[in-house]
Amino acid sequence: MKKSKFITEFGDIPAPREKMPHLPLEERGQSFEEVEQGFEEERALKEARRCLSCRRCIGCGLCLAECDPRAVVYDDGGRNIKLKVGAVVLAPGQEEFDAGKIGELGYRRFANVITNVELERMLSPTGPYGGLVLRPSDGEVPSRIAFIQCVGSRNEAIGADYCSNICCMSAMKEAVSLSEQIEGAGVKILHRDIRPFGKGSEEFYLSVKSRENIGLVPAMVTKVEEVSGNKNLVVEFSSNGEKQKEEFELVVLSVGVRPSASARGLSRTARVKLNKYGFCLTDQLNSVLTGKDGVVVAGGFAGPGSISSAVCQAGAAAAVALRSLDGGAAPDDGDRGEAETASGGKSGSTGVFICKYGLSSSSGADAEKLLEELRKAPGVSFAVASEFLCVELSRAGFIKQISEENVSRAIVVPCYQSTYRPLFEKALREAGVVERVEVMDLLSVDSPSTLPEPGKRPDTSQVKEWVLELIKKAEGSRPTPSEEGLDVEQSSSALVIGAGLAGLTAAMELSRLGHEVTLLEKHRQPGGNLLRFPLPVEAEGEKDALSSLREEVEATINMKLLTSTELVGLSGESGRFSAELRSDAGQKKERFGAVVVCTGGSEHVPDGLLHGRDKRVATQSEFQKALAGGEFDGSSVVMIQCVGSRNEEWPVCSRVCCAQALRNALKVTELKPEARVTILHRDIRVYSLEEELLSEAMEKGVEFVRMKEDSSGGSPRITLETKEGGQVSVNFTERASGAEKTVSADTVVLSTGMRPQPDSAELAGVLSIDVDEKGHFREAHPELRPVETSRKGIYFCGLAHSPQTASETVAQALAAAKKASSFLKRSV
Amino acid sequence: MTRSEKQKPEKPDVRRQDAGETRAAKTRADEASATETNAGKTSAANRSVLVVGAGISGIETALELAAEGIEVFLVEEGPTVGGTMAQLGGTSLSDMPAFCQLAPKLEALRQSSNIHLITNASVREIKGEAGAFEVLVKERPSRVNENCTFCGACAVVCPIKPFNTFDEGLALRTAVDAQNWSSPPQLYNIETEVPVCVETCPANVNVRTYVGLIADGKYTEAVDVVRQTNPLPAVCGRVCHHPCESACNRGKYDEPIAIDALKRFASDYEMKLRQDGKLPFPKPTKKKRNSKVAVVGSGPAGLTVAYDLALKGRECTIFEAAPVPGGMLWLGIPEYRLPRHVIQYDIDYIQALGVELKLNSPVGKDPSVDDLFKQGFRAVFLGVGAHQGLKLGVPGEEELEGILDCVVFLRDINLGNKEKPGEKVTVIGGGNSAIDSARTAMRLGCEEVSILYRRSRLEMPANSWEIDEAEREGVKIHYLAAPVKMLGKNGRVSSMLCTKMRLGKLDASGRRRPIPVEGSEFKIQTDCVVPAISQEPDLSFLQEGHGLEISKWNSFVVNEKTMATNRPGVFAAGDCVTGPATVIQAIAAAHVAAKSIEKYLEESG
Repeated sequence: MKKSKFITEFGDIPAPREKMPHLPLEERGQSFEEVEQGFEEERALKEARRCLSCRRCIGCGLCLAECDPRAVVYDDGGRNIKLKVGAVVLAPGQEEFDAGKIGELGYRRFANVITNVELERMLSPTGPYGGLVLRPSDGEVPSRIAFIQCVGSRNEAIGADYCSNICCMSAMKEAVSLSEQIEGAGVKILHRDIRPFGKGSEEFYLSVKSRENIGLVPAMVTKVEEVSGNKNLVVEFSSNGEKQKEEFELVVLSVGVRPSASARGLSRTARVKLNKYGFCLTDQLNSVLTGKDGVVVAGGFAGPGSISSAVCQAGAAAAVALRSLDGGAAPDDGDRGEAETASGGKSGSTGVFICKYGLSSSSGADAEKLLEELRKAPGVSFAVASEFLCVELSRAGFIKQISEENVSRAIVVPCYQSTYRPLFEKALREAGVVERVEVMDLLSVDSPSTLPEPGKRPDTSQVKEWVLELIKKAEGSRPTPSEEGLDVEQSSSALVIGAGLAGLTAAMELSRLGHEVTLLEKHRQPGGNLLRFPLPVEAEGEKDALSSLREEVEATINMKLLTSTELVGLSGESGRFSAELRSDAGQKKERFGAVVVCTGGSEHVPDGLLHGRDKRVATQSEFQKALAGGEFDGSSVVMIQCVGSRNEEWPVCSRVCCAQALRNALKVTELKPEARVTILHRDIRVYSLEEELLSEAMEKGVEFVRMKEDSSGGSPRITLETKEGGQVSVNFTERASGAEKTVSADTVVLSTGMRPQPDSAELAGVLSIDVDEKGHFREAHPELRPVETSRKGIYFCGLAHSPQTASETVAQALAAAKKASSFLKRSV
Repeated sequence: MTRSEKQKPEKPDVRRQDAGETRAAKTRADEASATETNAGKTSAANRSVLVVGAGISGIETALELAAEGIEVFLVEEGPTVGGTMAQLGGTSLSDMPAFCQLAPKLEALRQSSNIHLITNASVREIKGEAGAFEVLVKERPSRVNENCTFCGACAVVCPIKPFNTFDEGLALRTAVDAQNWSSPPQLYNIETEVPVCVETCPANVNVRTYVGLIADGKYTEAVDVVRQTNPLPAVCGRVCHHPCESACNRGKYDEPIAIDALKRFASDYEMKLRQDGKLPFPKPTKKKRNSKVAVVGSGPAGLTVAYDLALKGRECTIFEAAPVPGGMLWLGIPEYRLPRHVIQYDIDYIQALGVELKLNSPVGKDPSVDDLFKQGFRAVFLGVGAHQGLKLGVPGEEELEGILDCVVFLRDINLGNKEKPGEKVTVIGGGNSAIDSARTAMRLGCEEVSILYRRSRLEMPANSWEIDEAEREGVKIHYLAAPVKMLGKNGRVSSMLCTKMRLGKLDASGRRRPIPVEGSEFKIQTDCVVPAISQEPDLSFLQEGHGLEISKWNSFVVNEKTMATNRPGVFAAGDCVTGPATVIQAIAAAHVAAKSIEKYLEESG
């Protein structure tokens, strides 16, 4: 490892500041002599030289002298710009908690204690050490690494009674990167509840858990101390009640999020309210509304959240902002969106795989044009371009598609980083590419051909030449014909499938955006889950959410609600879909430009655990409905979390049950303060401000018992026993003690989780979109394109996407509607 | 994306406006600003949206809106877009570096002709209602214009190496830099903003310069720099709460610079030179005719006003009611923290400029403020401080002896009357005056000194280093406790009934609210209670019909921008306006007052 990569310019960092000499305690007595004695000259000089002078421009003029085009303007005074706008979107983002505020963790005192954001920078290929993780004290590669979770989150004493959402996932992700980058690395994640947020995260969590070199240790960290000499760190923590000490070479603090520094001033300027943490106070159901007309919010300012939720909120914010503008959305003038994924080709032996992003970042070539030309080129049997080839290659469906093409040689054009070469090779070998995988790298010096002049980016024809050169290196083949022409007329109307919260919201928004909308509902009544259960959010009028949505739907002219109707066939190209709708009245065909899938999901109804056989056993939603009556006549409740979730059969966290259980528990304590409530759980997974529910429940005396999972990490073993007329007993194993325990109560509530519609795979087939094995539709990019399917013109949202809260559903529905609307306007 | 540089700005500088127009291309932004004057002809203003913040959510919103043909002004505080996401090595769901994933979005942003990106900018004002907002955006100078060819020659020669904040300080950049190469606008810029230490200082003392001078061994020059904005360097070097140190960038790497101690070192050095006769005091400034200003109170505010005005050639007389100068500096702060000769030295310097200081000269009734005007003073500055201790409001407080407010207690001691107030002293409160009272009581030889504070150490407003010292000296601190009732024997306090407190939910201020714990009452034996919970101004010195507006907190009501009271020619600043605050805050406010007094004198001839 080259140490020169490491910062050496400030050799004195870290260096403690000079200590103020004090009058010795014994001399103070009854004397009023000055206690602080002041620095002597030597000390003052040393201390003053620690000053970084804040290293801002000192106006020396060296750059000006060097600048040939005379572009440096020292007397630039800045400008005031006046704008007239119809709406304002606030997206000032978030920043990280200052870990120095928790002194015991040693951040800033000890060089090798870093934050996760610093680690992220190190892991970034554009980062300070080119993607390598080095110890700040000496530039060595660390092999024993600890993550400390919840630094500055879930801590009311420091003013943050919320969960920061992203840290558990990012710590696990970073741990995987570290263990792959560093040979023999051992990583421990010292965590409280483990909370992997978002779609697909539970499976990721399980895969991390099964890794030998990553340890997930439930722990409360009390202190970090530095070992003098090697600057290693000793972390003191208690785990399952046992005090432990362990030495690490690097400690990473997973710091929580805070609103950005500019948020407070911005809120005053824009006259919006903040909550007590300084995040924007938003509507409970629609998280982009600020309470002030024409001012909407998106992203981190609305509260801690993931990238994908920020993207959904952005779409929703755009849709809502449009409402304040004259004429709403206009059909013309729009930008062209990101280009679509094309595929096709005939069997042969040489395939070309183009990464559009790689291409655009390293050349001036046009991906579509290149693709078109390469398809015609001799020797290319199959050519495909995708937005992010590496993301695409991790999709099983794509691999299968390639393997059907019988490609034996592959040319990858081009990859931005040669570090991805192994990834491509592995994936393409899996797809049956046996002979050869070539990865072009337009940025590196050893490109297949000579580089163009410095500063000039290669164009399409140049890239094509290089590809053909590479193909010649492999063996040649036949050209392929281009795609067939299009003849069907385009449509600007949209089809929304499913009339629950997501569907009603999306349909309303599409109609607001000026489209004809057909809303399909396979049941006799629209409303979905809203019909059965009130929304858990404490909105002004809970039940009104449904009735007002329905009233709006009925009052809208350009919307057609078709109940007891299903989609049974879809043909044609994006923008020119021909849909076959089947109802009691028979089957008919209709034209649509875009489709929004809002088929939703429902609470899982479990087998076993006496549900449906004993009146004392209910699901959370059933219990919520019972409590809504304003009465609870029992004396004790046991809630069992993760029934039917997070197990071998269904390795998904249902996201909503913990918060729902806490709301119900709080309702019980409100209705009957003396009632005993016990929650049996594995981790309490409440995100963002939902954490307050947990704090309140603990304050109200709700009892939390962590169940032991079986050895493989699967669901805990629980049995229920009943005595006629008596209480129900729940038997389980407690994690802390490992002992078999029994709790009895007169009501048992099962947190059974959410499932997508059982027939979603079938619908995916009809729509030709991707669906995962759980029945959740698959997005084009998990984070940046969360409501787009792999097929242009088809969007989705809500519980059909993943288990989520009502407000997340509303944001996704608005985002999906906005996407569909933009697509419809573009394609007309 | 259109380059914001090409928009037609409202330039305050005419010279630059000319230069701008010669190269300004007609852009959509031009049309947008044209609608301001041609409102009604086009509805373009209502077809545009302001997006504040260009992280992933801001960018995505801008793209979504641009796709609808909406004109978007994307305003970003920093030099480049991408926000936190652009910094990340990877995201949780993909192995690709986050900036690679972000790239298509950034490319779309670059391609969009509907999006105007304005970086290095903040939103200052949003007026109006939905559909018709008027927004003022302040763009900081980038100091590199669009002639830049991106050759990078400037960065090669730049000698200044700031920490690269985009790299979380793990690496260095140059002062001229684009900071994040992978995100738009990919332009060089030069930051020259005020350093954080200077920015954080209420009086904007030029910290960076004087610390630099000290590093170069130029100590007296360093003090001169301090005196440009702070007339009390020796005093502040000891008692300033130094917010500059909390903000100091060095603190992000190990510990902040000991700025206050350095200031003290330099001014002590200068003080010694003067005391040894090696450095003369300054000569009195030349005074203008008919320029008399009366300053009431010789605390930090009064001294600062007199100092500023003396430098402007105004004749100032300070009227001090007490037998000693300095206000709270002398009467409130104990000697072990601030020796009297230090206060005297800073005042000597101010007096050397030709300021007259009259001790034992109360103003209010005789002479009254009106009398001062009659005596020929053209302006009156009121800097009388806040010397009235607040009551605890518990039973027994009024009736019993041995309950002594901290202001009274400290004033007595500081005027030389060093008598023990009792043997078992209990101070109530968590601010600096509580700590001062307790440590003073220790020095008087009291048997036992304790402090009662209703919140925890974390919330204690006193300087943390003072709390540490108090504890080392033997002061006991009872956190989460508050008095309920004073109990007495023979008319004197003998014990105190207290209750334990717990911290509840955060209140609107973000601090946790103390709540009494029911049934947790306990007794403390004490023969002297010193309430030190807060102070308010004591304005009983004013004669009736003074005509000055007084707030419900018993303080003067002033115009915040000028420190002028409702009476022409009468100004006020410091604790008597704000309630108890710090020395440097009083100095900062007094500068404002001095400036407007000078303006007042000029304008009134």
